[in-house]
Amino acid sequence: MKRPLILALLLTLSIGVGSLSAQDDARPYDGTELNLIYFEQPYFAGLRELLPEFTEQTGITVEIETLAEVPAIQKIQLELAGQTGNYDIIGTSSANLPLYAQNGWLTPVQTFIDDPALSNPDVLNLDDFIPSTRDALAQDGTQYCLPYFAATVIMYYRMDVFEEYGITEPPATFDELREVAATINTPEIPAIAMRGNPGAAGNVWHWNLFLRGEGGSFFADFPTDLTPTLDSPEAIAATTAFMDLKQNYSPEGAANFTFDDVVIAMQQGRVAIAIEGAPLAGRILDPEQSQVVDKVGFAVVPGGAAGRFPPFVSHGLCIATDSENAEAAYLFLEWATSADVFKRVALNTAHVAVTRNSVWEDADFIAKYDFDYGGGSFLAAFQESLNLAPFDYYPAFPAWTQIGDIIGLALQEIEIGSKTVEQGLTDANDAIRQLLEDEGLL
Amino acid sequence: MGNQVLGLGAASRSSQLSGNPFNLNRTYLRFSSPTFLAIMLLTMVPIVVTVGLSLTSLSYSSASPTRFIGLRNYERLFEDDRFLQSIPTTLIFIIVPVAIQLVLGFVIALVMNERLPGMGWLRLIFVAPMVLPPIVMGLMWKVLFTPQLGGINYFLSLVGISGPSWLTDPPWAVVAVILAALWGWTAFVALIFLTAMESFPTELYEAAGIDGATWFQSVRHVTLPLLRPTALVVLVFRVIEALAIFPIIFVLTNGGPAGATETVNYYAYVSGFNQLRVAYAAAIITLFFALLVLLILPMMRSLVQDVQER
Repeated sequence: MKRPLILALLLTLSIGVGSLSAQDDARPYDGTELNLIYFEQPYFAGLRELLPEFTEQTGITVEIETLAEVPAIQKIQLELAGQTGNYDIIGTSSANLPLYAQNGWLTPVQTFIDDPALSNPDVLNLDDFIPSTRDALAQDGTQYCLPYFAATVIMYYRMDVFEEYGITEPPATFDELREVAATINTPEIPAIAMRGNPGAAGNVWHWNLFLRGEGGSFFADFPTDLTPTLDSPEAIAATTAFMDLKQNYSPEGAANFTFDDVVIAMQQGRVAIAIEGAPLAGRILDPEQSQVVDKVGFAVVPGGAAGRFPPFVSHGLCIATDSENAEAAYLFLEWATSADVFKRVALNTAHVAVTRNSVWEDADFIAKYDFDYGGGSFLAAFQESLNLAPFDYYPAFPAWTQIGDIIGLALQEIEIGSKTVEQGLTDANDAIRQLLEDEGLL
Repeated sequence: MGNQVLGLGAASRSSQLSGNPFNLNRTYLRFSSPTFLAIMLLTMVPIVVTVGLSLTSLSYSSASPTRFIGLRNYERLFEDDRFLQSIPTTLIFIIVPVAIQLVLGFVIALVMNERLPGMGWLRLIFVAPMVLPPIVMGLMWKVLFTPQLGGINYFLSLVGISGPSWLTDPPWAVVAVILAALWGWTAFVALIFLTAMESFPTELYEAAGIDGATWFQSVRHVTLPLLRPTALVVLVFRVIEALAIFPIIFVLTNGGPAGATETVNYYAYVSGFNQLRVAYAAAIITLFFALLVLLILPMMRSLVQDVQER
């Protein structure tokens, strides 16, 4: 008599608590709703398609919100600073991680990786991540986020234009690049397109490869000596070379070019060389929009006296400190960055910037993205760039947010001719010194 | 003057007439107090908080803890070239478009007031820019000004003019923003002027006609004086609203090239939202508020005087 009563009681209880306790072991987070926010990328389009599978497995639903890049980053920072708890998962680039970590806005994924009840080492497989993309999202040995996007920059060039002028090899140094640009530049097809809009994700992103290539740096010795060194002879030489290309051999309006403008200029055949993100190859060569498919070759960006320095940043997914569903969020992160999901997203969308070695070696992946039209393999150029790319392309500390802004503006002032190279760099250098003194860092 | 603006002056005057000032005033206050309180809360609290913030060092991109620093942010502002440069830019974007809008709006209203055929349709077309959100306006003009897509430079080339690089040449970028603002809000001014003109008593014009006044003389001596109060209202509205130019700048130039179109409020936005220097942005916006009050106060005063005289 007693047992049925208890059973009945349990049954009532379980109905009362809802489906949560009904499927206790298999889906402990059934019914949880997660919110994710970042900027629109093919990866998220791919994830949305596969989401029903994740919901099927775990009972967790995920809402993915994507905006344009700058508004997304602003919104994320506002939400995190305001501790609104509206978002469980946020995306970030490794450049912004120090800022978020310093303000205590993120719960490191390390907390959950170390939890055997939650983490599945076979799916997580930390060793499979491209080490630079993984380590860029860690601080002091603590993994903060899981990487999904390996960003670097390569040189796209029009093989047919090069051939017309008898150029057999893509330029490997800044001097060669200048020579080639001077040779092939015409009003109809200007030689080269690079970003011009001010900011760390704009002109600074491309200019820094010249700065580093010429042996310059932002600071005397980061992070021990933060004396800014933007007025060094190396910085002046690098900026002069960069501006020469932008002012004399670029399309009209290049001082305002965003990555979108560069992609479209290349895609529509209005420029002969584009130095732009490797992950954007899918768009540049999109058979439905591109007028230059089959005509594009790929190379590592040129370098200077100090070598070649392809830009590098790793984008990852992280868990917000004010999330109430951190465990469920971790399960999603593990799934969304798994080799299986990466591979399928890569094959379904234009997401090529995958962060797992196993996917890079996958035959289907290679077949889709090799883009070898006789000018060498795209994937080879991408991978070589990732290998060459300096892990510390941008200095990793919170004040970088402001410094990137200061340099971006100075570069635009130089480009449109309102300041000379020396004047622009000296002013920026002074502004940065002032800022660091205010911060007590100098 | 404060009483006038809040409408309390009118109440006390009418209560004097009724002979029972105390009671009526109380009823008046009772009815108006919830709205009054709500508005005070919604405007005063943010202002006080902003001013308070501007005296601290709050910045999310800084490693040092937030503390009270008095007027340090303001001192820094007056050494900040970018801020100092944004003040004249702001004044240009207030004065030039508003002045042109007033003149152009007046001329358009004069023409439309002549009741030529097709004016009804023209009026409809005129309202079109006003219903567009400024962000859409900005995007539209961006497409027109962009050299590669450029509608404007194409048409200029048809008449043999090689158009400037609108958005990358600082003076031209300023012109571009002003053009967009003119396109967006001149119609508003014209329509208000037109409505006012339609209400003018026709007898005055007939009398002027009998006295042998030409068309220009009747415009000069009848229309213009009658239009003065309306023009003042429009002026105040337009100056306050002139800074609604923000979304146009945001979309069209991003404050660029190299800060050439960066207004004070745009710089506050950049400091607060791009650089995360919250307290510094608060200081900028506090000064901006002061600047606006300084600009608008004399206009409000003459507006109130004008009303009192009648």
